[in-house]
Amino acid sequence: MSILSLENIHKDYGRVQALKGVSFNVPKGTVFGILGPNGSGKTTMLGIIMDILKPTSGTYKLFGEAPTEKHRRQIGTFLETPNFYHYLSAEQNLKISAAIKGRGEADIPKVLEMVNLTQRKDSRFSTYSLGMKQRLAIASCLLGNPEVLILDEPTNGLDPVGIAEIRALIKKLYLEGSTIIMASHLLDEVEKVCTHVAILKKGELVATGNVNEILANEDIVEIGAADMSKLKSSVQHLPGYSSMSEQDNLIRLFYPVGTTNLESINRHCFNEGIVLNHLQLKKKSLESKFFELTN
Amino acid sequence: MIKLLKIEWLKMKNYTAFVAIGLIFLVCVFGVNFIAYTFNKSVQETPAAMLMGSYFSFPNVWHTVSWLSNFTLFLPGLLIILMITNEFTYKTHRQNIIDGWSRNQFIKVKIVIVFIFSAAATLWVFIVALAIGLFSGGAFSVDKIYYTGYFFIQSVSILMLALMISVLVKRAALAIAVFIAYVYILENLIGAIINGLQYKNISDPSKMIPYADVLPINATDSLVPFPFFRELLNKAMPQMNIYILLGASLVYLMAYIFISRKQFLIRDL
Repeated sequence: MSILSLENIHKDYGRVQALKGVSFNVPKGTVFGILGPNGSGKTTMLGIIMDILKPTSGTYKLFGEAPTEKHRRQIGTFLETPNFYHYLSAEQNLKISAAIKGRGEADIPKVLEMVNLTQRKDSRFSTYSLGMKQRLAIASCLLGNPEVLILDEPTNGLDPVGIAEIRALIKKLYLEGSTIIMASHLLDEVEKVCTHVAILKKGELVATGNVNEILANEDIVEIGAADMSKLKSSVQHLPGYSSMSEQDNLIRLFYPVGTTNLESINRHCFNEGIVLNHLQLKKKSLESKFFELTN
Repeated sequence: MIKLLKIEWLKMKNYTAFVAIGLIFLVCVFGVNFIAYTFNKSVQETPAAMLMGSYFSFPNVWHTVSWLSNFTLFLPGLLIILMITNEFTYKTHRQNIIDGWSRNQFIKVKIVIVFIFSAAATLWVFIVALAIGLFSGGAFSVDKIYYTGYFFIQSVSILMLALMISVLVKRAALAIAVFIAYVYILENLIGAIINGLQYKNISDPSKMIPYADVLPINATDSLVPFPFFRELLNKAMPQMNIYILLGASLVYLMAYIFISRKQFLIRDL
């Protein structure tokens, strides 16, 4: 069953088209990343799903049904910024969220503990640091232990420890069977945390599917020798590589991740009478992959 | 609805401005009436004023206190504006929807709060009028108690206008400026222009038709007319029919509710 399915969603702001016909499905039990650079339409899309923005055209379904507020109560959502009453404490704010979600207040101490805010639960929200506000927003999402979480840039503004904690939390919830939809502009984050991904670029869906397929990386082997033309004809007989290119007086061989064997390359060349003066394994940078996908 | 109101209460009870403005309102309603009462009493001791009758004994006290209290209604009006623009400022209107309210539930409960605030304000006006009436002596009477009912209509109307302005402009400072400027200045200006245009053609003021009385704030204000020297004024100036005033008040109220709901239900939040 699809937790969320979008059908040709368009959103225009005057002449600006924020979303240009986006359709995809989020399967149950996945960590679904929505990846895109700033301004690609991620938050707009999540806003439409949460009924705070109205789509210009198109439809969407939650849990396979026409969406209502009852569906939203089963989803813990953190959208764009932590939104709380500034004059109320963390605990008082969570009481309001819990009441709206129709959950009891029994969960409040537990979720505050999960995000390390127990000690500050009586402080006003306005006295919180950015990271604490962010953690409170995540605590609010966890109220009532929802099956589905929607998190928009959940690690924004957190320190490295906080980021690691959130990622560990997402992993834990995933293993417990939750579905997590997470928007991010950090490719690295999506790669580390998500099982599935949809990539948005200027309001258009450029790719969607399994993370390993979409963000498949390649190993790059750079080799060099005194006689480059001889080297080139020789390496053409090497097994296993997917493509080859020449750059900066070096030959670059591309291998599927984890299949590279430097030793056999070296031996092959030596047997052919070529002594290598350069042999290096390089991982393709994720950033360059991101640019490739979104440019 | 009780569930929704309980949640609104969670938002309100620890909001300093709610408590402060609430208390200021209670004190002001009592204060305005008490000052007027004391002043009236001191004047009445002169023989000439004795003839004017007492404005603070039954049944006139219902009318007098309702009229005097009307000037304090901008206080709950400000409170409504603050409570609604806070939601926009903190983006909690979004969060409430995200967490599982429908847009309709969000706006519906605010509209109900306007009625509750008005009922509470009317109850206080009733208590103050009762107290002053009993205090000033004379036989108890519920004649003219309908003026407290008119006060309720005034309150609902002005608070609903505050709600509509808040939903339309979203920002506290701007909403307060628009509200105060319209209620206390702009509408009077428009009324004066309407009357002025008529006065050009009619020389006898008693023949004028008080069209200005059906402007949004005037319509409810005119339900409780200036209570002093009433008989003299009735002769000098024509009054708008009470049913026309009630009808106009109702039409404006429906318009405020309709516009507020429409805005909140269809636009991007």
